[in-house]
Amino acid sequence: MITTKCFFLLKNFNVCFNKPKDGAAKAMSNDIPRIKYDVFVSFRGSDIRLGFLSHLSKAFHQKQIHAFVDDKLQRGDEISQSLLEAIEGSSISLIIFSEDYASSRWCLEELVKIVECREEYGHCNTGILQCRSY
Amino acid sequence: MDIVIPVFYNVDPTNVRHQKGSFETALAEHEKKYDLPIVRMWRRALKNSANLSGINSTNFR
Repeated sequence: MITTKCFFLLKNFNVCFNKPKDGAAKAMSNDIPRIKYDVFVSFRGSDIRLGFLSHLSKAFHQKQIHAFVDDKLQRGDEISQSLLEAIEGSSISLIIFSEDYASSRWCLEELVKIVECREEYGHCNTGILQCRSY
Repeated sequence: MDIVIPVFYNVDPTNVRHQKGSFETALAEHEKKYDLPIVRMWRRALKNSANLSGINSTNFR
């Protein structure tokens, strides 16, 4: 059942992302973070690491989508600077809400950063990636 | 950041938006450990992001 759901979700993602010919890297002005990734994925590792995430990573690879997927099992006390920069430097954030998502402080801190970035820089990079939602 | 897409993977979007079910339990646990303004900020982020149009896995059977 879960595999079937993954398949349909991924089918959806396949039509969602249209990769631009010149890739995601694009010089921005000094006050706007430079785009380094097409997608930042925020997820709860213990919920999807062994299932959905591997299908998602494979789909990104096949579609040549440059995604930031932080799959470290151990994390420090604070959300790392590199993670914050990855969020700022991504065109799209994909938040995978799963059953245990909110039990992780790190997931919630990532989420706050994503929402802040959207409010601060939203609509600055229109046209780098096109997205259709179904 | 141009686009934020929430994916509801086997969770009801309403539970994320209004912090019900497992989200309610998790946030209640956080409130015991962390300052209230911090948890309030997390709650707001959950609500704002879950209100965006996204993809719900239960729509795919």
